[in-house]
Amino acid sequence: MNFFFGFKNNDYETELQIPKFQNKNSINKEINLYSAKISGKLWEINKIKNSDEDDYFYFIKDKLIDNKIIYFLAKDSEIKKSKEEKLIKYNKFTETSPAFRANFIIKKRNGGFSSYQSEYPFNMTTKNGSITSGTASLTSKSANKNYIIFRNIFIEPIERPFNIYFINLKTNKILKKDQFFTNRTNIIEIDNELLKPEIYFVSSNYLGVPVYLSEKNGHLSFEHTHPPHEYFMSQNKFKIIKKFKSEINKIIN
Amino acid sequence: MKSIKSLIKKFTRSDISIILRNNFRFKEINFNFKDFECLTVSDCFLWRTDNNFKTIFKFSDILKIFHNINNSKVEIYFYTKDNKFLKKIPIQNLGLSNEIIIDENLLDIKDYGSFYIYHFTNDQKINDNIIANRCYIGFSQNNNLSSFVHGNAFAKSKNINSMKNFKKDFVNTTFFKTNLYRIQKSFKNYDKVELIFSNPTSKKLNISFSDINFSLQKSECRKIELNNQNLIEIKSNCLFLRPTIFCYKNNYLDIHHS
Repeated sequence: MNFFFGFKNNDYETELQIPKFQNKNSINKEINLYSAKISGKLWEINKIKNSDEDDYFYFIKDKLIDNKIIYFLAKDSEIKKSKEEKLIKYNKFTETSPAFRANFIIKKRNGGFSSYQSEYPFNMTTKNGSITSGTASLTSKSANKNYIIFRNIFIEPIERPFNIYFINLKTNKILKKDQFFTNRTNIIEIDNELLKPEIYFVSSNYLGVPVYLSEKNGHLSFEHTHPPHEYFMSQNKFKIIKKFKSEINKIIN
Repeated sequence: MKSIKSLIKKFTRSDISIILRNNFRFKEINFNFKDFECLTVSDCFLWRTDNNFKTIFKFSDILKIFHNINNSKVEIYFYTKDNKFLKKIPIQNLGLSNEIIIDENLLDIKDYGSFYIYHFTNDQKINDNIIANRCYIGFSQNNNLSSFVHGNAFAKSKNINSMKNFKKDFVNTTFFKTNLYRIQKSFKNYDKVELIFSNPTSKKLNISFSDINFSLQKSECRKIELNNQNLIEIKSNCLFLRPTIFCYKNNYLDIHHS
């Protein structure tokens, strides 16, 4: 099961287009759009009735998006309670190959737009860990601004700070340290001196999706980096990634 | 009982079983990576130099980053949209992340096509590996900011040590055009939409959508232009065929894989 998220900011508007169909199958008319947000120590589950929609898509416009709320698809009969102690895997409707994704569009106010096909798999919400991502991969030194937008969704309804780092893989040094929060879409601007091949963004203890946003004269680029395991198709890939992450952990700890 | 289970498992993963599953649409297997090793796999990356486009290609030295292998090298092979070989660029002295600009000066052609990247080393310690550098490609029109996408489909491969071609396909195909792929995005309200298809296989692909029918021979690319369409449903004989999408509106451009 996948969750979908947006991003709220004074400079940009975002929109989600969540399909009502699997990419290899027809529309499921029993599926509805739901949201989850933290309320006290619980997840509050709500059916969304005021989003725009057509036969094929839910269009979640900027006014329904904030940096905490998440969206998912479920049948009404699958939602037993309006408050839950943990996120629930309600169904397998969004477990498809190729992956079930929503189009996540970001628009510069009075400027351009960019999008990527976005999802946050349920299995990622159940795990702790770290994410590594090279800062030079999707950024442009000539851009006016480069950002990392980092979304974490954690199964428990907690808003807990965790550390993020920019590290130099050649010198094994931490160049910058900051704090993000769980269950939030976080943003950090990347200074130009951090846009080098040897510099990596690292999250500590919590997983998430790092999405890079660049802007120049109203034009935008918006795309996520691959997790390292996507570079290996052999059986030993998790062993390789474990070794790589243990080297990273030595730097940040 | 255990041996029966093991036999069933072996059969369901056999080549004949995968062909049957895929052609009868029962628990299809999109990719085939079994029993291969010591391979450097490349996606079928797209380049554009037409219509004032240039392409920025970014790739990391994954052999250095993950295996601490120094002095590895890469080779990048460029082809036209009709799969005619254009040129090979070998690159040594790799940085952890590397960038090349693909423009008319580099390829001497204003068009679009595909390219492939392979990593090579003499180091034997990775002979049980299959590496696939997914990389990132930025498309810049009229020298505006590049809009980046990541790699999209496993296509060709070579042996990491011997550099010999490996002839098998990674993306599976079927005998007939039985595979449906609905792109999960609405294409309403754009001035223009271009889809660029690349064939990641060595087989002929038959493709149809929106009353358009066409074929792609081995490793060919094709650009299709559409206007104001909500849903795009692609039928083909390929189990993983995702075009790169260019959406235009008010002099701005959004590029992403589907």
